[in-house]
Order: sequence, then C-alpha cells, then structure tokens
Amino acid sequence: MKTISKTILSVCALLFALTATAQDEAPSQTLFANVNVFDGFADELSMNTDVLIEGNHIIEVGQNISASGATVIDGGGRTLTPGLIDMHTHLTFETPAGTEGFNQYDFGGAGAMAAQALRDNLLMKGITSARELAGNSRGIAKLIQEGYLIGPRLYTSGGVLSPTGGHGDWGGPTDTARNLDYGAMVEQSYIIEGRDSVIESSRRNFRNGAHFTKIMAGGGVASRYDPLEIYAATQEEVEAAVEIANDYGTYVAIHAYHDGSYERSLDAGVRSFEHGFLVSEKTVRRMARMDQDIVWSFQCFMSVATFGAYDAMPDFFTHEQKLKGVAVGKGARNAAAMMLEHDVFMIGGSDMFTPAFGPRMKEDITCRTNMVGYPAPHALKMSTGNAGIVLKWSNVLDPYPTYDIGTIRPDAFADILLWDGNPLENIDLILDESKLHLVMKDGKVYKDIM
Amino acid sequence: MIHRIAALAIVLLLAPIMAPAQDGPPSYVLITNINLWDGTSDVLAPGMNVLVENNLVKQISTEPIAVNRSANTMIIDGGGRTLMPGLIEMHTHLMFQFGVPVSRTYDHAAMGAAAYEGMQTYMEMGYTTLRDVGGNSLSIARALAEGRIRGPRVYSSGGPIAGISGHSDLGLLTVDPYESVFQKRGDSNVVTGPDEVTAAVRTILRQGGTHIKVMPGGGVASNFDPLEATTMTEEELRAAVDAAADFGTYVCAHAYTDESVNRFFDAGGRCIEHGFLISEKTVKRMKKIDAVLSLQTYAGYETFKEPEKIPGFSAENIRKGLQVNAGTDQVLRWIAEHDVDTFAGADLWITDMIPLTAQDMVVRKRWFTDVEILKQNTSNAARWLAKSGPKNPYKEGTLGVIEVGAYADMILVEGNPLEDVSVVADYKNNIKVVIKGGKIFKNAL
Repeated sequence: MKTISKTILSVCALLFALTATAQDEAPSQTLFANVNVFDGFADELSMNTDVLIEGNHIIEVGQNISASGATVIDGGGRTLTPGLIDMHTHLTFETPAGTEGFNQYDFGGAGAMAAQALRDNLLMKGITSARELAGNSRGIAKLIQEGYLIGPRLYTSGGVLSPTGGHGDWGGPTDTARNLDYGAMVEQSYIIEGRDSVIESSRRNFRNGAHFTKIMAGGGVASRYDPLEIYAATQEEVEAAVEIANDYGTYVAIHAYHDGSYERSLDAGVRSFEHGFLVSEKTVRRMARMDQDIVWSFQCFMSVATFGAYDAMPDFFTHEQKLKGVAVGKGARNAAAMMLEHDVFMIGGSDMFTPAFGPRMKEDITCRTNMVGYPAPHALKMSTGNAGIVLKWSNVLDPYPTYDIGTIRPDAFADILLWDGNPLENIDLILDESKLHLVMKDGKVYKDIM
Repeated sequence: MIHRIAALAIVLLLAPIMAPAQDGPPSYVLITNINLWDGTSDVLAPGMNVLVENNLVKQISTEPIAVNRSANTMIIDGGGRTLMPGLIEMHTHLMFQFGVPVSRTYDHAAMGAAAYEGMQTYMEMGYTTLRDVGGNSLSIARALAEGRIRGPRVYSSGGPIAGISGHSDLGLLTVDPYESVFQKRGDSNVVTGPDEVTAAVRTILRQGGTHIKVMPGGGVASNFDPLEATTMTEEELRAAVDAAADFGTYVCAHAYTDESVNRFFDAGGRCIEHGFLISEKTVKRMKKIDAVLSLQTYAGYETFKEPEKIPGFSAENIRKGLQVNAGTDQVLRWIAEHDVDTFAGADLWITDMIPLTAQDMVVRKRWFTDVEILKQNTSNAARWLAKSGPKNPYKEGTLGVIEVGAYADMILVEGNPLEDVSVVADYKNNIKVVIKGGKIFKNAL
C-alpha cells in the first residue's frame, strides 16, 4: 500500500496528497451490542452477545463488553454472522456467454465486467471473500488487496492448468496450435503437456500473483473436447503441480468428477477437490479418513438445480454439454449424501458466473439445504468457518495473512454481516437483500440500511 | 483512499434505483419545476418540466406534463434547481488509472477493473460522456454501449498511433518499442511508415474505435520525445486521416508546436489536443480551416506552474512543463480573441485526479464567459463526437443538449452555473441528480 501510494504520487501532478488521511490516527473501535452471533462453526447462535472491533479486526466477543470511546452499533437482536465466502468463482468470465465469449470482448473489457460483478454480485450481497478457481484475476486481486478496487477479498488460482482438450482448453475447433486462443493468450489458462510445462506454468502463475494452483484433472461439462470420463491430466502432471505448489508453500485444487481422477489426485497430494459428482463410496471413505488434510468443494446449484434437467441448462451449451450436465445432475445428489454421511470436510462454491447466474450466487448456499437436505448451520459453515480454514491453506502466498477469515472470534478480520432474522432457522433469508442490514469488510461499512 | 472508497460505497447503494430494462412497457422520468439550460442558449428557461421516455427526452414544457403514476414512472421535483445536459469530458485515458509506470505492472483486466471504478467517479460528478483519446478501452466502450456495465458513454480511440520514440511509445528503454506491454494489449500503437499507420487505423476501427488519435508531437511526461520533436511524417499523418475518412470518422492529434500542428493540418487533420506552443499565425489558420483546439487549462495553467513540485519529474520533464505553462495563457488569449472552435478536455484521468476534472471549467473563466465554458463541456463537445459518423455508437439521439429527441443525459444542479460554473465543480454539494439514457445513476435529493 505504502509503496504504491508513493508511486501514484510520483506519477500524478497533484500538489496535495488526497491519500494521506486516517493513517496516523489510533485505530477506531466499533462495538456491535446486543446481537445473536453465528461464529461460522456452531450449530446454534450465541445469544445476546457483543462483538468489539478495533480497526479492521475483532478483538473481543462476549457478554456486556464495555468499550469507552467505541462507536456503538445497537444490533437490536439481529443476527451477526461472518461475511460469506464463495469458494468457487470465475470473475473474469463475466461475458454473456462465459468462456465462449472470450473472443467477444478483450481482457480489459473482462476486467471492467469483473469489477461490476465484484461489487454487485458479491460484496454488496454479503460475500466478503471469494476463491477464484480458474481465471486470470491476479491483477484484480492485487488491486483489491492494496485498497484500490472495491470488492471482496480475492484468493485466485490465476490461469488454470489444463491439458490440450481438457476443461480449460477454450480454443476453437480450428485452432492449430496450443496457447493461440485468446483465453490462453491473456493467461486465463495454461495449456500444459507434461511435467516441464506444468512446472513452467505454475511458476509463471505464482510469479504474477496466484495464491494456489488449479489443475483440470478430469473432463468437464461446460467444455467442448472432454468427455466426463477422461482423466485429462496424468499422474505425473498432477504430481508436478503439487510439487511446485508445495515449493511455494501453497496447495493444489483439482477439477474432476470421477474415482479415477480423484484417486490420482489423492495419491499426488492435492488438497482441494472440486465437483466429484461421480465418485464412489469407497473414494468418499478415503477422503473422510484424511480429515482436514483435504476438502470437498460442492457446487450445489450448478449440479443439482441447473444440471437437473436438459432444458434447465444454459442456452449457449452444445447438445453434448447438456448431456454431460444431466449425468452430473444425477450423480450430485448421491455424492452430496455420501459426503455428509461420512463427514468429509467440506466447503461450497457457486461456480456461478455470466449475467444469468452471477447475481444468484447465494442460491448455491440455500440449495444445500433446500435441494439436498443439509442442515442450515452446516450449509452456512461451508461458506464461512470451513471456507476460511481452506483460504488459509495458501499459507506463504496468503494475501491476507494477519487474521482469520470466516469466523467471529478475536483475531479474525472484521468481515461482518447483520441480518434481520436468523438464517440458521430460515436459510432463505440470505436471499432477501432487504434483510441484510449491514455489510462490513475489513472494518469498513459498505452497506447500512439499519 | 479510505475516503474515496467510502464515497463510492454510497454510490453503490444507489445503484438499485436504476430504471428497469427496456424490454417491458416504456419507463418514464418526469422532472418538474426546474430552470432549464438546454446546452446552447445564453440564458436559463425558468419554470420548465421535462419528460423522459425510456432513454430519450420526450417533451419539454412550461405547462405541467401529465403522466400515469405507475411503477414505470418516476417523478423528481427539481425544486427550482438548474437542469442541464450531462457534462462531456473530451480528453481522458481510462486505461491508465494509476499512471503509466504503475499501469505497466498490472494486466489489462486489472486496469479495466480500475477504469470501471474511475468511470463511476466521473458519473458521480455529472460526466455522462467521455472521449478516451488513448488506451485500449475499446471493449469497455462496447460493454457500456450494450448496457452490460454501468458508467458513462465512452467514445474510444483505442491505442494512440505514433512513430518510435513518440508520445505513445511507453515502453521501457531496454524493450523493443514494438514489444512493450502497452503495444501488446492495444494501449499504444507504435508504427513506422504509412502502411503500418493504415493497418493500425483499420484494426482500431475493427475493434470498435470511434475516432483515431495520432501523436505527431512530443509530450511532457514521456521520456523519448522532446516537446519540439515531431514524431510522425506528413505521409504517415495523411495515411491516418485518409484511412479514418474511409470509415467516415476523424483523427485528433497530440501536438504542441507550430511544426507538428501545421504538418497535421497539411495532412488533412482538423482536431488538435494541447497546442500550447503554437503561434498566432497558426491560431489564425485554425480559424480559417475550421479546426478545433482542445486545451487542458487546469493542467497547463495550474499544474505546470510549478512542475518542480511534481514528485518524480526529471529536470527535462520540469523544463517541458514550464514551457507548456508559459504558452498556455498566450494561446488561450488568441483562441478567445480569434473565436477559434474549442471544447473542454481536462486530461485529469488518474484515479485521485478525476475529481479535479471540473476544476478545468473554473480555470477557463480567465479567458471565457461561463456560458462559453458550459458549451465547451456540452453541445460543442457533442458536435465533435458526432463526427464519428457511422462509427458513432450512439445514433439514436443527440448528445450535449436537452431538446426533444435528445438522449436523456442530464444533471440537476444546485445554483445557476450560467452565472458561475464553479457550482458544477463543487459536485459533492451541487450535483444532486445524474441521469444517463433515462436511468438515474445518482439521486442525492
């Protein structure tokens, strides 16, 4: 922040500094009094509680906290929760046709559309952190982290590693060489072939600001050349991705659906497992035994609701893509039940982008309760407490290393929501923006309709 | 920075008030009880009412206008304030929000995201149309025209065209000018020879450019071009003017000196940016050939008064800044005296400087009347935007005026800017409502 501020001043012709305010004052305190707290983990609210903020983080949670000099916000019995975390976003794919639209707008246009989505679809709706699971939002994430762009905390994989013909190969059918499609040119993806290119792409990604690695280890729905059943990445390629991620102190997330690619990735040391809607109970048991060494990342809305029926799928899908969607929709309910039954450590991420789905991200959370029967506290934990734990797996590359995220306790960032009502009893409440009375991120208020 | 974010957060809250999309029944905005400045007259028309249907002005009347009080109709009581056309800024560079050196360290998407934020600031200030005269904001301009993102109307030139070492050669000393990061993402077009100029012009227009920017003269804040240098040949300039004319649009030129300005005129160009160092003879030529001069009064007259106070400016940058400052006052006197066509372009496009844009109007009072200044920021600017011809993305109505059939781009101002334009510059207190295309962006009533 400091370095950038100086650079800005050296560039512009300002004769006075607009930026040098509020830096030297003592951190101000804010007391949320008389609130019922969901801490991101517990099944029940902690009633009649106070939460004390100093600067950008929480310093005390308890009953009848006295803090002279603090600004007091009387919660009036509202529910206080951590800011929501969406663990599977694609913010640089906001064109009307998603990745099919890469050739319709250039990367600068994609950035402006991302900026609006970051505000409208995430921050202003209470999603104060997001994990970008493919897409070159490295520069955008850095601008947010440095305070120059309004948006949620953004942890990004940067460009996704994908083999030719894999889920991150967004080239046209007539492209004759790899990395010639516009998505690859602007590093939305890296087309990888073999260990060496995995190493090079991983390092390029980390050099320019990625916080972890995402690799396409299996086939996908919304892509052209990859049946769901394929493996896509070799064992060696996945291992290379893990090796380099470990060298940078961070972790690997995979896109995969079936036992084969999940098994390979578990063997290789991958930690975050996206989708997995076609896995067997045997694999689920193995994942459960690994406790919090790994996590299952569930996309409820896109799998169960959207991929539930052929006709419900996006218009821009091809016939083959829609058939794959139907298969995923069937498997998803089954996988979701097994994962819960065996108590696999889990998070949720919407995977919802484009103007059609982006504004509805929070429906991924309610889907867990309404469509597959997860208890509401569990559904919320997947987007708060558990999610915050996984964000911290970026470790050395964590852009927000100072405090915890996704929980309400001392030494957690002041990412706080106030709700008129109790979402643990009525999860649909989170979709009603008039019930979201306050949004605070990093101690700053972005919405206040109390 | 903290204050800036807080201010923008307030704008965010207003976003949901935006009028509904135009698929359904027509939407109406009725503004009653206002004093109207239509963008061209010398006086206010008191006690007027203006009705907007969808994105255009439908009716203007001294009599009350009857509307159905349905969900599709919004009525705003102007309370005797001034309603005038949305402001037009004719010289910005959206893709360089943190200045050139910092822009070099971010990718195109990050700079696009930053541009989005800058555009929201312009809107809050009442600037409903911008002309980007250098930088690849072409896809952003398209997304705006399609209504996919909020912000002003943007007319973009794409990357400016110049020879090696010209003002748009923004690469590092050790990098081939054709390989700079700016060249690669279309923020600049370094060219050699008329054929490359033609190709660059056609590529820009293919990607949605509305006009072309060339840089035949040197610049202040760039490193390879003394102000006195001329970095495009007449042949290259003519290639740009001809290729643009083939698409029915025009070329504007970054130029300071008699040499570079006259060479551009000889090549058929008519729109000059800067021109701070030209002679009275050249000013007279401008009048004769009906050329236009866009002068940056705040930057030239105020900022460059003491360029040594600009952190990071080298001795050479300071020398060039003082040179520009010395020329500003004289050139503006001649422009006013000979009644040369001019419009406003503040050139204050870095994030923290955008809020100073309207100060350019205040500085202009030294040479122009308040009404002249207002026209330079509305109707006269729009006259040149319309010269984009078939490439103009906004052909449905007129801009820069409030008349029946014009785009409903309007601001409601506390006070009378015809008596003192300073009221517009104090946008936080005085710009109460901002409407673009019939959609309410800001309502601080």
